Amino acid sequence: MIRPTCRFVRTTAIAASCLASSLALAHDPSMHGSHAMSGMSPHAGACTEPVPQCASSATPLFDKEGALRVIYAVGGRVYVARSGDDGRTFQPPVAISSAPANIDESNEGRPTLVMSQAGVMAAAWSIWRDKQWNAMVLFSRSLDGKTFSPPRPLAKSVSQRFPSLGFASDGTLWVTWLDKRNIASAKAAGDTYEGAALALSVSHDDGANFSPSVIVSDRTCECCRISLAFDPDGGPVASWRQIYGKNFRDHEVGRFGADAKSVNGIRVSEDNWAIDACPHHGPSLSIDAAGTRHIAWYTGGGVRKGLFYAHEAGQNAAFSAPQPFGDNERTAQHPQVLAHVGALVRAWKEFDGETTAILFQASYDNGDAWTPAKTIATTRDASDHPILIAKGERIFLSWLTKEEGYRLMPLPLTPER
Amino acid sequence: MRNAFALFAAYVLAIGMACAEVGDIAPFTRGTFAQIRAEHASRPLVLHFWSLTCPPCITEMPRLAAFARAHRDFDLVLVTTDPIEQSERVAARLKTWGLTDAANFAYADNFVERLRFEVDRNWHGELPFTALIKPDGSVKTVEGELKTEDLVAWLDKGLTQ
Repeated sequence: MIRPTCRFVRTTAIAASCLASSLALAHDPSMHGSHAMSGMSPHAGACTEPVPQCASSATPLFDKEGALRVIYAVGGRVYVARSGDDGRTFQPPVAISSAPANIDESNEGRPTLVMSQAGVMAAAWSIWRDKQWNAMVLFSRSLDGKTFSPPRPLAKSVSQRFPSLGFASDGTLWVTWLDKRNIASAKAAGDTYEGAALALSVSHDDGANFSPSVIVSDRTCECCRISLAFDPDGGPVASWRQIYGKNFRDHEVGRFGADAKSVNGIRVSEDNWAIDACPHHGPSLSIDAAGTRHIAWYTGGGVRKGLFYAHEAGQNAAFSAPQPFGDNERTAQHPQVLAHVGALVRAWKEFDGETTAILFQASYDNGDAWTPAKTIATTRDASDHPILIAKGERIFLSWLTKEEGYRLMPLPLTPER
Repeated sequence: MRNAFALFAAYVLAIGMACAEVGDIAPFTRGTFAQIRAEHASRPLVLHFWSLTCPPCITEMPRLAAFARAHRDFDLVLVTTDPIEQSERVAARLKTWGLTDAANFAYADNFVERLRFEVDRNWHGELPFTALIKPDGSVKTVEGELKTEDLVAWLDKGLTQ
């Protein structure tokens, strides 16, 4: 039965909500009309300054000079801010996009930023472009680290989301995203088509021009971000959630072909998560100097449930048995893995009903034995996914929280590395 | 003084604009889950979470709407996890399903881990997600598509108890 409910609660709470929203709207002269309220940021009612603390996600990068750069979106615009003191203070940000747009600011669909060895910065994000919630991936680059090119789309397909990009050691810029171009043709042919597809495009001139994008894998999960890393020889490797059989949404790791038209992948583990849903929970991939691929992921599968880690000795090697970690009783979620100068770290989020914590473990034997889980940071309000990032010999946790703002915290790793 | 008046005028105008956008969608925040349960304690309750950005949610909603219209032996409450600032877009979508008159809520709290924890501490945020709550207080949660046969089976059990 459909009937209205909670009439009294509803009326008063809406009034309070309107008040908060209106205050934010009235106080920020940079906002214009309805666009001011159109961003997906859950912080929109609270905070509209173009600073990381007002964003719902912040993605870090260390530039050639070792300075921190953070990309984030506030009020429908994408910004990059530079910090010379590891995130304690930020210089005034550079706005990459001038016209406000309905940006995908979800923690999964976050704007992302990478840099080439020569110092070229490349950024990608997606915007909701119509009332059917079709999205478009936008790209922008900076040759001087100060100004960015006007954002432009990378494909003309019906909908693209979850861009992931990276520069290979030879300078090639690889961009991959989830694309829905094959759904319409499948339906026209009378086929059902669950999910989306993995699209791929490359640039050999630092993002001035891109190859026409191609679909390299059909029937991927449509709402989990892709993780991109590089083999020691520079070959690009992606990890994403693929749909196997009718609806098992498990993980694939695969290397893109040098022709940028194919991917050679294998299933990481048969978790058999049969679900017609959006998990909003992408994997994390990192490749060490010896070429071993390390992956961490979440599954609610029939075979196993929770956070898991496995590694693959190299292309076409078998994955190790999934290794559970994190506390399922505390909703362990959003794992990250990073291999860096002899150390391997995994970090993740847990929540006990009041406090959100980021925990980490380190391994110095390629992921067989791990140090005891240790809490590195906590918060008691909304927070972004944790991100691991390295500079020099150190590994940092990058974490944006509503109460504390942006934090970059070095992990206390043991000296036996 | 003049500036203060201008600010006040802008503020009043802004209230009108913002409230016109919100529509008949209530905020879902800390404690709302318990309020909804209390209000619907005497009847089987289907509390269904969805999002504009979740394709499987959009696919299954017409079927759920039709089922709810045809069955008067349970209450349907819808919660979108889209922020309440998106209410205008949410309302437009609800209208296409004929669900404007349903009990509709939208997330008005960005501490989403806490909202989920109140409903089910094992819920990692998958959508769609449904909590099936009987008058005896028992809760069954369903990750992903809510299959009609499962809903029928749950309702049948509820009525025979």
